[in-house]
Amino acid sequence: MKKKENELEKTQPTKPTVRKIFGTQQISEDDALSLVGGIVEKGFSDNSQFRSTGPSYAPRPTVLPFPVARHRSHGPHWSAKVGGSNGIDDEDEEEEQDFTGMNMAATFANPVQRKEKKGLDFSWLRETVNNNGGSVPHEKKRQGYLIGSNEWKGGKEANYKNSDGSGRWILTQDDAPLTRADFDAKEKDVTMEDKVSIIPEEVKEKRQDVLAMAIDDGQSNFKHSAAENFVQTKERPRSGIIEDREGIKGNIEPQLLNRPIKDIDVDMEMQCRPTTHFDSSFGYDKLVDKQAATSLESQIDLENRARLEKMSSDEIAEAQSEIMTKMSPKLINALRKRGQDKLKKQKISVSDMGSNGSSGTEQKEKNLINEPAMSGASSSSHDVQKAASADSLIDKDNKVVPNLSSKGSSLWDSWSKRVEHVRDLRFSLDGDVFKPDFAQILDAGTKQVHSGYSADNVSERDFLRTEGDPGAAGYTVKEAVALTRSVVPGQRALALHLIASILDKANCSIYQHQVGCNMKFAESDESIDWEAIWAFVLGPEPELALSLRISLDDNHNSVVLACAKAIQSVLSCDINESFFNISEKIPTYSQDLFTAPVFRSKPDIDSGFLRGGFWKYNTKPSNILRFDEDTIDDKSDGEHTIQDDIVVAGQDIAAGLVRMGILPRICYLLETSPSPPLEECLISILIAIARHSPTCAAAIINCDRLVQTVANRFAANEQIEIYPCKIKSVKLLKVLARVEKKNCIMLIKNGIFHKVTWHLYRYPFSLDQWVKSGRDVCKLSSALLVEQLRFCKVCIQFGYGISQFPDLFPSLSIWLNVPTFPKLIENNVIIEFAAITKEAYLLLDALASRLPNFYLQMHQGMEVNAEDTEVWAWSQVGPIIDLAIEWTKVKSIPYISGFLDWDEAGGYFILQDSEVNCLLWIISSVMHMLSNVLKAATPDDVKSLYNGHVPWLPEFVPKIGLEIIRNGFMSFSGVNGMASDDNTAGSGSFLGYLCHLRQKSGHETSISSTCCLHGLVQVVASVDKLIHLAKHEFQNASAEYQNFTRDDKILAEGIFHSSLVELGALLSSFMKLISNGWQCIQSIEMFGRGGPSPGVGVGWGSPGGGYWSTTTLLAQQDARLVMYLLENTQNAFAKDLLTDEEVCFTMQRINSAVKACMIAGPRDGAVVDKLLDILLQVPVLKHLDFGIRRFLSHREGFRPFGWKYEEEEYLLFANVLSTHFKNRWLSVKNKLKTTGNHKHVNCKRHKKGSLPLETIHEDTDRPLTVGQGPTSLIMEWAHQRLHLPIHWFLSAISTIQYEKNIDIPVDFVEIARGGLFFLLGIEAMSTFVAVEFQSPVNNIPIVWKLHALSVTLLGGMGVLEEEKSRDVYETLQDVYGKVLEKFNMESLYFQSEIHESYSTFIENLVEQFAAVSYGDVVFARQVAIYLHRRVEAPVRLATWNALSNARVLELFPPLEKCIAKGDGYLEPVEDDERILEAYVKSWVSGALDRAATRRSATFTLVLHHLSSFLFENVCDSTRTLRNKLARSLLRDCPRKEQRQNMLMKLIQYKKSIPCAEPISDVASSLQICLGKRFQLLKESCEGN
Amino acid sequence: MQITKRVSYERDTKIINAASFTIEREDHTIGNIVRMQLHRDENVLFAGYKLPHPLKYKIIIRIHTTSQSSPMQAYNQAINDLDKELDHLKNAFEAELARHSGSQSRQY
Repeated sequence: MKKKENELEKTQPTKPTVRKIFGTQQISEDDALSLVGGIVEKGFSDNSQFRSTGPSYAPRPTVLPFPVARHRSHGPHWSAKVGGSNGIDDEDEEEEQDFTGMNMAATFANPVQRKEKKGLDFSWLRETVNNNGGSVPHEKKRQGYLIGSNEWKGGKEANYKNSDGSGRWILTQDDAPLTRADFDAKEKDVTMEDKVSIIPEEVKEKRQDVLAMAIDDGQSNFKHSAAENFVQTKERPRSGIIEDREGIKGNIEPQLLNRPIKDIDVDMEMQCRPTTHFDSSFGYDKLVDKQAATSLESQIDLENRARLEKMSSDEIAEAQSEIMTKMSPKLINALRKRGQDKLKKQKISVSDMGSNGSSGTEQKEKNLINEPAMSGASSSSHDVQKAASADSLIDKDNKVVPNLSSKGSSLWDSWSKRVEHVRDLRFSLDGDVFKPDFAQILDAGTKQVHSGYSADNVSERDFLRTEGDPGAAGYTVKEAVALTRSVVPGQRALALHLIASILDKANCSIYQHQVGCNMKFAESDESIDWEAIWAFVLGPEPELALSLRISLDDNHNSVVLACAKAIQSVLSCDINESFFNISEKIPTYSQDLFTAPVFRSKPDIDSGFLRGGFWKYNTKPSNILRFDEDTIDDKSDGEHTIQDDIVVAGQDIAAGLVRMGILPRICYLLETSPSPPLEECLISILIAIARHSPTCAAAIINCDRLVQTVANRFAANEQIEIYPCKIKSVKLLKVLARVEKKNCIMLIKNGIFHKVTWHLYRYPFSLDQWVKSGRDVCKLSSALLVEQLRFCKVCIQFGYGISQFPDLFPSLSIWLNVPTFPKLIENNVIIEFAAITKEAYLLLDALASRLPNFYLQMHQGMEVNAEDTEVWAWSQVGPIIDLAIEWTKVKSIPYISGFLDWDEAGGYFILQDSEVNCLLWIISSVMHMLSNVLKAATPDDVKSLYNGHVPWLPEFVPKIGLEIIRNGFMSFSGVNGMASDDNTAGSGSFLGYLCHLRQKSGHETSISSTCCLHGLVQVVASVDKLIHLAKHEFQNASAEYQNFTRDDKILAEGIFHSSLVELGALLSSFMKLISNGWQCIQSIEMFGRGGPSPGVGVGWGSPGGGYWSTTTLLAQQDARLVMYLLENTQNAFAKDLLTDEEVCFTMQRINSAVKACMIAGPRDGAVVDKLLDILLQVPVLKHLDFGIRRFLSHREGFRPFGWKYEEEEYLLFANVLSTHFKNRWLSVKNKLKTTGNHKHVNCKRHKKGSLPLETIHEDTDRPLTVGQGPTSLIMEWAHQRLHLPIHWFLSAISTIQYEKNIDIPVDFVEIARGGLFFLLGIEAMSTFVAVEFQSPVNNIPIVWKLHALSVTLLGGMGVLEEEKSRDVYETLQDVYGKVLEKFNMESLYFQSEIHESYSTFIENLVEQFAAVSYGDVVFARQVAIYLHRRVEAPVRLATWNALSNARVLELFPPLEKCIAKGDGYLEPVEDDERILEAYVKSWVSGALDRAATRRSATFTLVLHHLSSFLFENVCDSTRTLRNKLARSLLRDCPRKEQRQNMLMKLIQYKKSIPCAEPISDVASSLQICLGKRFQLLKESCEGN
Repeated sequence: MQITKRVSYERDTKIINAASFTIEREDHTIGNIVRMQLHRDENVLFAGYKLPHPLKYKIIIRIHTTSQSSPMQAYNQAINDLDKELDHLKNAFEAELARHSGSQSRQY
């Protein structure tokens, strides 16, 4: 409808006014005057007069920019541009025209002077005018273009020129015929509207007249009713100002396209100013002259859209901001409101735009997507990035374009886009992001453009913002960083505070995310993308590390303090500490982890491209220490520049800071007795650096006087008073001691250890005294004591200071006792007390693991250990066990006994969660200590004992057991049907309670309850074992046995045995838990990195902390427990034949073992080792075999094997596989072994324990082995491989060669055979399990499985030569074929999923196939899978070419015998030209000849695809190719009889009929069809 | 004189009419041409060769034939045919060369 209206309007005869308008300023001065005057009034006079008069004043656009800035940034360009910078992208003719145009225009370029009559300040405008020649050519060109492409310009265009003050319109008309042709040819993206609106020029002129008139009217109106405008603004129709604005952008754009980017800004400035000015008034006109307005509106709208389409995004952004700068704030607000309203409405009322409008928006969207690429051609990559970010911002704003970032782009792309967004975010001083509202978005796109400050309010400008956009609120990251180098100390401090608060906020927010919820972020724009912010701030671009390092050298204390705080935030000290705090509470972890960011090494072909390579440091350790002796020797010092430092800092910010010499500076600062907060900060920083990596820790140790200074400052104020920084000092020393045994010895020898732990040896005071000292003091002293105990523990773990235990014991004993709880609760110090108690028991735990073996000692007497490490004496253990047993009497301890009633009336809520938690930690550490003691009491070697029994049992063993039974840790409900008369705990057992807590509570409580459970199960198992060993004594007295109480009976029968049901339930509930856990952990790793950002801690910036989260810790604890439970309930595997349920159960166990393997982190090497032992034992393999047989006999399409595995084969598989997996995944990279240079810390590889690696003989994981303690208690991520990737068990079949440094001869064929069997077993078993217990094997993409099968063959034919493994292999192929058929939607992305150079791999495989296979069918099937239609085209092409070149196309079985159904190879019909050409090429070259005679699948493929391409779906687009192919086929034909037959087959081919069969019962339709085909062939040969 | 045999023959135990020939001190030059010649033989089901290792100067040719022939027979046949073909090529070349140089000498 609107269009029709438009047409009517267009044809209105308004010719007489034409001249007037075009030549406004020259021909009719009155018109021009009123026009210009109008503009001027709005822009200047009103402005200057009423700016400060308050709200009654109508909002209006301003054309007055901030004068000084304008001059500064734009002046120089003006003159230069006139010369020849335009038209670089243009044809030469164009340029010439421009020149002439410019010259001509210059003659008209003076009338603006008239404006001076108004007595206004036109100085800026005069400059414009003087330089008018510069803009003219572009103007003209644009007009030429517009006319040329028959675009309807609208009156705006004309007026725009008029207001520019020159009669250029005439010129344009002159030029039009010339330029028109040019543009028609050039502009390929002429839009719909352009084509539609081809209108004779007169009509256009008329329209312009209408418009102009309307404008004149409007402006005269406007003059008188300034106040009205505001109202009108609001009332205007939808397509009001916003569209106008877009229109302006549109107007500006075409010439921009034709010009070098650097000029754009200037031009925009010049042209936008008048345009804007006009435009805003234009909106009002439409209201005044209604009839004209409605038509105009739609026309302009139409045109605007057309224009907008052609604009690149940053041009749009620039134009937008330009407009923003030109308008008064009030108007902007009004517009913004309108815009937001409009956004809301837009979805509903799309039709409102008119038919053209909507299509226009669509096209606009497309353009927005395309634009960055276009501009990328002519501008730097930086511009592209900017464009991209501006792009999506606008998209978000308009809510029209959905997800630019996610569509078709890889994970990395979307991530980098997210990070790029941060560039434009602005932060308030407390670290919040200013919500990107309208103004924000517009501002964001442009930084150079100046905001709405005019001469009047320029004094309000924020002079703090010396960089970037001074007008916008808040600071961008880069501005803030730049501000840290301000000359004003206050500004520096402010900027540092800002940075610190941004980082803190980011830290907290990241940590609150859910672990593993990756990258789902980009779409939701409500929340702020803190991960990206974190990554951007730490990333190389802002050069934050450098600024921080410089600021630390500041001579203003406030700046230094602020800087220290910022560094503290950068290193995320607090959150790291809280993680390590929890981690240290876990008794099973004797080791910490280094926090340095790492990434995985790239997969290579030797490992079959499997993921999960060794971790590497982001920064080479040798890069951290700049002033290393070695490097000084190697290189001249002059080579180091600050750029190197920045590069290092970009890789790893902590390393960068250390490299920049932060440590000497901190040392100096500490020496100058800093204020307590600064000291605390500095020590926190030191802790974070010490935790970073061995190299950094060594740097701290080696830094002159640093450690000594810390110790001295600790001792300096020797009062009882405790400061927080004292606690941190102890912590720092503890961390340093943990890093290396050497450090620990050093700290003990120079007395620092004693200096900082003297509190522990203080005269024992009573608990009452402690409680009375007040809560705050208690808190501090508790924290200090905990750290000191931990420090002690470290020494003990290294084997030192054990002899001092008797001195320590008296003061410890008050903590070890069960306290009187009411007093503690009364004073609210129960948590503090519990913390100390727990730590004390952990200390004892460490001591207990230093116990010599009880029986060993008995036999051999007190043999003193010759080494410098000490062992604990059993004589001291007695009282401690008594104390510990007190804690196990949970029923007699109030507040703990409350737990046991948990299921009744929710009674367990009597305590706070945190209190429950801390009590649980105590119990957990007590349990672990007991279990360690029991372990030491268990004889190592049962066989050497007399009779296989221990001669006597230590008294405490049954005591512990009895306490556990009596105190309702387990319910023993199933024991001999005994009446549970004395079982006061009812149905609730402590175990059940813990299980409940694990599932219901927060992370820390869950962890503590899991630890408790673990400890409990361990103690129970140990007690059982010992009692079992000592059982013969009971057997002697079987008469007494009858008289035993229930408790004794349970003890005698074995607690474990008696509570199997309960433990089974426990196991299955934890199996469920880890199946959630492993997926969560597997999803953390992305981009082949542990985390996306180079910082320390918080999971290196991954959401929720990634690997550094309590979620991960919890999952790992669960995995540990599962491992332990599996280990102790292995007898379930003993049976041979299974029912369905049992199969299911076995599968669950196998599954959870596999899952647990994937959860295990770097510290859990021993866990994985155990799990592999559990998984790969003969009974389990037998079960797998049983599963395979059942699977084969029950599934259709499979036939059972005609053979059986022998017992020896199981054994062989078990051995071979477990050695392989352990070698493959648990080995430690040891490349520096040969250097033997131990000066260097990074040469010291931490030797992880229980590795089957032949070269490392030590078993050092647990400090159990007396004598040779570990050299470090902190694990490195680097040089090892855990966490395992999801497809870890494929490694057995897809490993061709190990790393060079493992020189054990390995029989890969054996491994592959074992691996194939294992894989088939798991696959088969997974079909028996319910969906909720989904096996991890189902989560591995089918691509990986197929790939792994291929890799096996690349290594050699050994697998296929052996009959059994050949059958297994073939069965696996069939299984995967079925999977392929089932999920027939997903593609097989070998190239993008597995390796980018997959084609090379294919070539090798085909070569192998061609050289040694003897045309083996199974091998051929495997190769044929790469010709499957769902494989990516490049891979398919590479496969075909390789096969064709090797002349092995005939070796394939018929299509029916390939993997998966034949249809998958044939449908959909091939459309890739290169592949079709390759088909024809092989045809012509004769490579297919034998394939045709042998009915090879390849020939069927060629027949099908070629005939479909040549004879069906005939359409024009493919004509040339079709002709070409047909011609080469025909030309080739006469030469050979064979080819003629093939061609006949091709012509007669029909898919339903197998090609080889003669077409005997041909239907007549087929004859017709054949006729047609001949016809087509004839056509395609064009009569030749 | 080289004592070691240039070619050794080894029958494949698993497949009938299949064997591998190890040819010492030869590489792709011979391997490829022999393989392609073998491909022309109707009775040859499979013919392929490989260099076991880039630094080992030998090739292994694997041949699998139908029951009408045997690997040894096919191999000999291929070698003979190649010999003939190359002889023919050589003769033709020399004849042409003689003719050409003759005409050239006539010119000058």
